[in-house]
Order: sequence, then C-alpha cells, then structure tokens
Amino acid sequence: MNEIKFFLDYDESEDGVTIQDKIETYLETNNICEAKKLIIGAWEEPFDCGPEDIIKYLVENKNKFPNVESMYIGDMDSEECEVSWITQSNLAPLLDVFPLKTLKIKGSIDLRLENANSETLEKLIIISGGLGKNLLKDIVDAKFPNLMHLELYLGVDDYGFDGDIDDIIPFMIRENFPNVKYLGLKNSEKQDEICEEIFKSNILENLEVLDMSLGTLGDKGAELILENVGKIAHLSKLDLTYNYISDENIEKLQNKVNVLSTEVLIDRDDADYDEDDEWRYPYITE
Amino acid sequence: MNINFLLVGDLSGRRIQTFANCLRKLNYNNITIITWTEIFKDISVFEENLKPNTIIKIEPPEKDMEIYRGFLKHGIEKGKLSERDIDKIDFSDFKIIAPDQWYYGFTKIMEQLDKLCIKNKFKNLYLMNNIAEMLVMMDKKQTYEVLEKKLDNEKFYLPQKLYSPKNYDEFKSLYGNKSMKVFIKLRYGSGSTGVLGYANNIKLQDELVYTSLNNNSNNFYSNYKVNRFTEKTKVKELINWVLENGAHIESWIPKDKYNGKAFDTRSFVINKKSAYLLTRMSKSPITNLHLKNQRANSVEIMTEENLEIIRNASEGVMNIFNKSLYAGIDVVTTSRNKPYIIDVNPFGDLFHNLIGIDKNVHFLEIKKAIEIIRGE
Repeated sequence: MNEIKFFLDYDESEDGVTIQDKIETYLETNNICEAKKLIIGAWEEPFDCGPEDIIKYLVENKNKFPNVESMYIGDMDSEECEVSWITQSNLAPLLDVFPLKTLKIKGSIDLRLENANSETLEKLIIISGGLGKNLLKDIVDAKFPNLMHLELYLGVDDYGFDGDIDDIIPFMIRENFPNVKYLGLKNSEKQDEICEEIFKSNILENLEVLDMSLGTLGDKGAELILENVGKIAHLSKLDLTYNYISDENIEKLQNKVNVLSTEVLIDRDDADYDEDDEWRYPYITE
Repeated sequence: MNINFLLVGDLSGRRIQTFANCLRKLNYNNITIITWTEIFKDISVFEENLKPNTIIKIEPPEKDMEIYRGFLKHGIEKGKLSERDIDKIDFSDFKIIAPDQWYYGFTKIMEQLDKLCIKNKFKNLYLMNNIAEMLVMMDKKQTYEVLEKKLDNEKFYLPQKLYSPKNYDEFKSLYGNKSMKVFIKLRYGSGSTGVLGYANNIKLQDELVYTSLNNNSNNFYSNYKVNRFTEKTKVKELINWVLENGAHIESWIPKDKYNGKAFDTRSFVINKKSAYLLTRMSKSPITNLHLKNQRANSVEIMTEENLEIIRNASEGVMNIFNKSLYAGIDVVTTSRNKPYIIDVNPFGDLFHNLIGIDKNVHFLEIKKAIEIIRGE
C-alpha cells in the first residue's frame, strides 16, 4: 500500500468520532499500517482545535507505521476548513520519531516546528495563508541536513505572516540549507522584495528550481529578473505562475528567457491585475 | 384523441420555446402560449384556452422584470410595497426586491389558475405541475419541513436545520459564540438566488460569506459569479437582507470532491424515477450552473453504487411530493456517499446541452403527460 488517509466526514464529526478512533479501528483489523504515505485530513473542528492528540497518538504508536516516509498533516479543502483557519500544533515530535523524507503541512495557526531535527527529511512543504515569524525561525534553526526541497507559502499579515523581509532572508543563505535544490518562497505579499534579495543571495547559484509563484510579483520583480537573467540560466525551472507583471514585461521576459534552457512558468492565471499594488493579493489569502 | 398543449410562461427566457420546440419535433402542433403579462391583464384568457384534452405546463418567470413587477402587485395585500412603490421600482439592474411579497402574488395567481383547472376538469385537462406542491417547493423552509416529516421512510438525509433569527445582530447573539459553517438561504429564492455560504471563526474573529448575491447600498441583486466576502460591513448587510426577507438556515455539508472540485448532483425525477443525473463542480461552495460552474456526466465520475444512492435519494423526495410529475432534486453526497437533499426545484427540468443522453428530458415529460391524459 502506498498511501492511506484518515479523516472525519461531516457525520463522524457530528457524532464525536476522532481520527485516533479511526486509526485504532484500522489497526484492530490490520494490526499495522503498511502505507509509505500517511495523510491526516479533517479532524474534529480544525478551525478551533489543532491535531495535538493525533500527533501524540502517532508518536506513541510509531511502531504501527513501520514504512511511513511521507506525511501530510492537514489535507483538507475549503469545504472542510479554510486554509487560513486550519489550526495546527507543534509537529516537530513527528520528525523525532518517524524517518520522514517528506513532510507536507496545510494550515499554520499555532504551527511550530520547535527544535526540529531530522536526518532524513528531504522535502518540506507548508501551505498556508500566512506563516508566523516564530515558525520561520523554527525552520531556519531546525537541523535538516538533507533537505532538498523547501516550499513555503509565506502569505499575508492578515492571515498570520507577522514578519518582514529580514525573516525571509535566512532562507536564502546557502549555509542554512546546504542541499536545497528546490526553493519555493511563494504566495507572499512581499514577492518583489523576495525577488530582490534572491539575486543578492548565495543560494541561487546551486538551485535547480526557484519558485516565486502565487505571490504579488510585479514589474519591479520582473525588471530584476530581466537585469539578472544570467543568474537564472542554470535553473531547470523558474516558477512565476500567478503574478502581477504587466503585459509589456511579460513579453520582454518571454523573449529573454526563450533562449535559455530554463523552463519559465509565467502564466498570470487568476491574478486580478490592478495597476495599484495596494490591491494585489497572493493566491491563498483567505 | 387530439391533444392540445397550453403553455404559460415568460417569452423573454428560453423555457417556453425549448418546450414548444420539443412538442413540434414530436408533431404536436396544437400549442397555445400565454404569457404572464396576458394573465395579469385578464386571467380569463387562461380559461378561454382550456380546450378539451389539454395538457397544461406552467413555466416560471424568467428575465422579463415587468412580470416580476406584476407578481409584486398581486402580493400587495400581504407585502410592504404599495402599488405606487412597485411602479417606481427601477429594475434595470435586475434587483431582487420583496421576495416574500412576490411569492404571495405568485401564489395568488397560481391558486386562481388551479381553481380554473378544477372548474374545467370535465374537459379532460392535465396540469403537469401540481400547484400546491409547486408552491411548497418554491419555499425552502416549507420544503424542508415537508421532507423532514417523512424523512424516516426514505433514503435521503437533510442537513441540520437552525432557527432563523430576524437580523444579523440577533443571529450573532444566538450563534456568535461558536465557530460554524451554515448556508443561510433566502426562503423564497429560486436555486442559488440569495444563498449565503457563511462561516465564522471565533478564534480569529473572522467571518466570511460565499454568495452570488451582491448589493449596491439598498439594492440587492444576483451576480453570475460567486464572490467571497470577508469585510464585516458587507457580511452584515448581506446577512441582514436575507434574514429580513425570510430565511431558512441549515448546516453546511462538505461536498465530495472530484479532481479537487466540490460537486453536487441534480437529479431530474419524472414519474418518481430519476431519469437524468447531472453533476455540477465548483471551486466555490455554490455549484449552480448559471454561475459558470463546470458540468460533468455523473455516470463518468461516480460508481454505479454512488449513482444509485443519488437516484434513490431523489426518488425518495418525489415519493413525498407524489402529486408532481417532475422536479429537479439537488443532492450533495459526502465523501462517504451519504446523500443530503439541499434543494428541490419544481422547474428543475431545463438542462442546456445535456450530456450523456441524446434526448431532452422534455420528451419524457411529454410522453408521460400524454399517457396520463389518455388514461393509459
């Protein structure tokens, strides 16, 4: 079995069933869970409560999940809970006991990765409406020596992003993330600033993919990319999907990157273009 | 038997012509069309056209806002708008105004038409719509109550109902101390008209509303787009308007997903059998097709077992509305395939670009109505 998802539907939530009950029932029948990927979906009232009890249960029963190498905590959609309303908790204990290669998290209220430490973690993705600076610091301070893919939906201040560019710059320091090949600093209201800092940083040189999608990247960012096009020539992919770049600069960028072997994704997608950058929003800003 | 057809409706929309074209295709050419405007002028036009062996089909008002005005005038007795007020309404922005008064006016006219049909019963008439049941189905609160009473005998479920307060402040004092997700539905709104998908988060003190309803100060109208509002004043204005105009509130059942999109299914039930299923998919919680949502062939995206659950649920609804020939039943299935009824539409037989079947559902209606009038 490759993956398994435990979640509560409407009726189960109403009846007071918990995810732990459901895992327990599964384990009673199957003894162990052989899945490599464990997905935790909607738990009871995710807009009010975090998954602390589920995490505790998983940690206490780690031996029942001998093959798990990937986890997704908070796989729910807006029918179940708005992304920006999903309450999380400190998920570091999962990394202490499971040899995870991938950890994907949705939702960031109360999310922490305190003193996180994992020799195995290669991929960390956090989807949110806004990441708090405490969490950003947790990630910078964490010991993830083998991390290759780091993808952070930074978000907006209305939904939990309480930092500034100085809290994001540490993700561009190669020494902090020596093996990162995929860097996603995305879905940010500071996308132009991120773009500016990226070109000053020492991380770009050894990246394969730079993902600055889903944010408010505008002409300022586009012009920086045009000026520094030589610095992205080694990338296999530059993702700028969903942006606020003008038609003129989109055309310039397309012409300039056409000659590169880098795949550049520049579709404006659903972005509601507005001349006035006060009215620009990242993709997930609920 | 030489059969006549009498269609009552609004020529500004597509319904009357679509149905008449189906009749012509089947070589039924004795078709008389009466508009609502003619009925308002002199209701005897209806009786004059009740020839022997007539099948009658009532279609709802569509885009002609003068018809809206007409029904409002017939509802003056129980409404807040006087004839003078109604004459002054500028309908150029298709505003929704006094839906309860509109419903009362519509009811009055319908009851008169029903009486005329009973009076002329000896002519062998068949009215495809059962007026009493149609009027219940046009009221979301009454529909819920009727279904709730007989729920236990059928294979469907209803979302939990909540008491509907008079306005936003009362709503907040009643429900404001807990996080919740509900649909606040305009009682006399058709389909998605005046439906608010409402969620609040106590912890963040956030509220949000998904709706196709919008307003420009005191003018409320339907959009062709589902918007998401979080701004407090806007949320309050929208909720106030729906509650003040009569609402039905029920819990928000998370819909099952297909390709990352939430979906529900319209089941067209005729003669107590589900004859056509159409799934509507959306990124927003409101799936109605006129809101530019995506349609899908239910048969292609669901297992036979799931389809059967939806068929049984919708047929269960029509076992309760058992005097009606047809209706469109909207069924939400949860991720574990539990079927919830979220809307019953007495005019739910207009499907544009049917997929998966080669015949318009009107052919089924015509066939059955003819069998009935012939006493077969």
